[in-house]
Amino acid sequence: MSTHMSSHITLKEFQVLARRAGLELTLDELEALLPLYREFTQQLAMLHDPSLPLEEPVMVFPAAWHQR
Amino acid sequence: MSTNTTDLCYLTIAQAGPLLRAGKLSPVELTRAFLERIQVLNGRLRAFVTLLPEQALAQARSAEAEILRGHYRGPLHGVPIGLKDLYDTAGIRTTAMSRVTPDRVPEVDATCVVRLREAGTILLGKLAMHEFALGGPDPTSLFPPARNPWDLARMPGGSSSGSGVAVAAGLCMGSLGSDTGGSIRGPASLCSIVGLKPTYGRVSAYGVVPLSWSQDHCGPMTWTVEDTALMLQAIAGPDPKDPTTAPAPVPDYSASLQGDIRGMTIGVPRQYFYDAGADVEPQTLAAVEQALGVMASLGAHIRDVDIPHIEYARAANQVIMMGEAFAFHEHNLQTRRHDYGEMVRARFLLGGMLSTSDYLQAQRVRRLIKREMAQALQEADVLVTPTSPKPAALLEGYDASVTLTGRSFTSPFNVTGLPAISIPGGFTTDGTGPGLPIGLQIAGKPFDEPTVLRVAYAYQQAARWFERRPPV
Repeated sequence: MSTHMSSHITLKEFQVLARRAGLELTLDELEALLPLYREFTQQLAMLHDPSLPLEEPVMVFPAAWHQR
Repeated sequence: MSTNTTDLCYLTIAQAGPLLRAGKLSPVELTRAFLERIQVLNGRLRAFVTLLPEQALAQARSAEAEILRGHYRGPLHGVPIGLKDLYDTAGIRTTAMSRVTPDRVPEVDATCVVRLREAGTILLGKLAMHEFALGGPDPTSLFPPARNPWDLARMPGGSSSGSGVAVAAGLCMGSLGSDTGGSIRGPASLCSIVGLKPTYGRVSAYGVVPLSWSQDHCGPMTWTVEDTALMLQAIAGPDPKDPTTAPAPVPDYSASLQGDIRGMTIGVPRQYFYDAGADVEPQTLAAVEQALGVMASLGAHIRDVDIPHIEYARAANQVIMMGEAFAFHEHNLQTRRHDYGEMVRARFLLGGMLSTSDYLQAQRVRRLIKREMAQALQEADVLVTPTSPKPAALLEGYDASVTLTGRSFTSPFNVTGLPAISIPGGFTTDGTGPGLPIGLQIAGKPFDEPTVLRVAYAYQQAARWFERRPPV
C-alpha cells in the first residue's frame, strides 16, 4: 500500500497501516483519526510530487569511528 | 502588589546586571519580588507548573554572598529565570506536561541547565508547555493551558507557552523554550517578547525531552534583544554530550548589537509569506510592511528574494517531526496511548502510519529548501517575514488541526536549521483594548546569529514596542 496516494483510504486499509505500526486501535479510534489522516495526505502528496528537483536526502552516515 | 515589586519585575536583564554587580540590587530582594508576583498572577496565567521558592531563595542568598565577596560571574549572576518543563533538572520534577511522565524526576541536568546555573542564574521553577512540545492548548493534558497576558481568553502560542507568558507578564527575567516548528517564536510573537531559535547545533539539546531529533532547537525567550544575546552567550557552544552541536566558535553576541544596519540588505520572500491571501491577517501584513519601512529608514536596502519551493517546507517539517516523534514514543503509544492528551495522541499515532518513503522524500525536500534558502541569503543579509499568520486565537474552540495543515512561517527555518528570531512588531487595533501582539521574524545564515541580533536590535530601538506591557 502506498501511503502517499491514499487520500481515499478505507477504514480497513487504515487499520492495516495502524497494525503495521504495532497499534491495535479500536474502530472508534480509527474512525476518529481517519479524517485527520485524510487531511494530512494532501501534504504527504506534495512530498511525492514528481516535478520536484531531485536531491539527496539530508541524512549522512559517517563511517569514521571518531564521528558518532 | 507594590509598585516596587512591579518595578523590579519589569527590569530587563541588561538593566539589572550592573545594579546586581554593584550591590545596589540584592538577588534575594529581586527573587522575592518575582515570587510575590508569581503568587499573585500565576493562578490566572498558569505559566508555572512547578515553583521552587525555597531553592530559588537559597540560590539567591548564595549569589548575593558571592557577589559581595567580589566573585561576580557575569551578566546573568543573580537573575531569576524559568525553564520549559522539558529541560531535565536533577532532582526536580520534569513532566513535559504529560500524564505519561507526571512524576518523572531526572537524575542529571540538561546541558543548558548546567550552563545557566554556572552563569549564576536563579531557577524560579518550571514552565507550562504543550504536551511533549506538540499540538495545542489541550484541556486533557496534565496541567491547564497557560493564558495570554494580553487577553486571558486567548492562547499564548506554543509549545513554549509558559515560557512566553512568564516573560511577558514579568514573572521571570528570561526563560528557555524549545522550537521544532516554531515553538519559541510562536509564543514570542503572540506575547510580544523576543524569542530566538538559534542555528541547529549552536545550543546543546542534551537532556531536553525530544520531539524531533533532527529539528529540535533550544533557545532563549526574553523581554529585549539585549537580554536574548546575554542568555544565548551562556548556553551556546559545543557539547560532548550532544554530537549534533557544532564546533563553530561562539562570538560575543552583545558586541554584535553595536553598529547600525546601513547598507545591509533585507530579503523579503514575498511568495508564501506575504502572498498568502486569507491565510494571513491584513493587520499582520501591514505591520510587517511598516517594519520594512523602518528598516529602510535606518539605511537598509529592501529586496525581494525567491525561495521557489518554500510551500513544501511545511510538509517536510511535519512528516519528519511526526515520524521521529513516533519513533521516540513508539512503545508508550503501543501500550498506554490513553495517557497521552487527545491532540498529541492523534498526531503521534499518525506518525506511525507514515512510510519510509514519506520520511525520505521529506528529507530530500529538506535539502532542496536548504539550497534555495542559501541562494536567497546570498542576495540578502537576512530575511524578514511575519512570525505568525494571525494574532492569538481564542482558547475556547481552538482548532488544533491548524497546527497540522495550516500555513506556518516558522517551520521552514526548522527544516533548514537557520537562525530565526521573533521580535515585537506591533499590535492589532480594533479600538476596544490594547490590541493583540504581532511578531516580526528575522532569519539569517547558519551561525550568523550576530547579524540576526543586530538587525533585530536596530529595529527594536527604532520601533520601541518593548515599552508596552500587558494589562495584568
